Amino acid sequence: MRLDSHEVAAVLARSGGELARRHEALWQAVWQQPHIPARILELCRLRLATLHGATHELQAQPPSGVRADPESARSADERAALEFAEIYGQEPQAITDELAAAVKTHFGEAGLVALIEALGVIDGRIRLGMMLGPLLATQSAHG
Amino acid sequence: MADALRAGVPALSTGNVIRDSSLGLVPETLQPIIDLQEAIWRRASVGPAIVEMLRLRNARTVNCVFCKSVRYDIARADGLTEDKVAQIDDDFASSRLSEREKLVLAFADLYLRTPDRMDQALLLRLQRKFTPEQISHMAIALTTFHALSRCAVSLGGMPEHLPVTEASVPVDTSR
Repeated sequence: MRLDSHEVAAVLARSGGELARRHEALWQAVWQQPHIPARILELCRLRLATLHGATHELQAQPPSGVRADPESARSADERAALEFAEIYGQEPQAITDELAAAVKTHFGEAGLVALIEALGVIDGRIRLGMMLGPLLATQSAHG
Repeated sequence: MADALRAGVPALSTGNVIRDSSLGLVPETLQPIIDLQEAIWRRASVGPAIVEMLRLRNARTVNCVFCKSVRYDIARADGLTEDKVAQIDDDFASSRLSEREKLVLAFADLYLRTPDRMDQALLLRLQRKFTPEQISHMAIALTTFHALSRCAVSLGGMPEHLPVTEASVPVDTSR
């Protein structure tokens, strides 16, 4: 049983108490910060889900409500963020100064930090969605 | 590893290590990160020693030099010794750690390496040993540490080695 990022939040909220509330607050903050547009983050979410093979996440409603199509991402800012996300999703140690500089050119230093934070939080939701279903959805169903 | 940090830090120093890092450049996410970290260390139902084991297993997997060098005093006070820390390696399954501790590390490895491959036997052992609340708290702690350590690696400026240093959970006095 795979969960999408919305279902992960619901499952954690059932048993996670204050930690789950604060975890969700960070998720919301990541999507609402002003440094990286939600459209760009949505492209990155879809790319990370593809890298993980998380088809359930690809079908989820966009967390911000803003839809984006990776196939039509051609602007320079979109390409910079997606190329960074591509390497981040595979191996953060392989990120180069050039990849980071390209992101800063479009979004500034705060944008680079905001993008890296967002990639971490989104990647985390996708991972949890792949493993928490059998663990927590089943337990909750049994009370 | 990158020689230089790829983003600066806030101009004003507050004494809080999180606020004074590059994360301080994004005030919109800064407070949620601080609040979440505080809750993980102070409120997680598995206790600080287990939280620290998850953090260190993640740190060694991601190879975050900063994260690997830190030992939180709250976890040491909860019983996490350096002898136990030394066993948080790839051979933990055959170590002298308790079955519960080995299960915690297996949970971490599932998240870090193969989240799509939940083994039925591991699933049953986790459900027998931990409540849904404890599993939720371990999951939130692990995903938070993983995101922050990957953030540190991505921002560059990582030294090759740092000595082990004891630290306290940052106290946020700014609000």
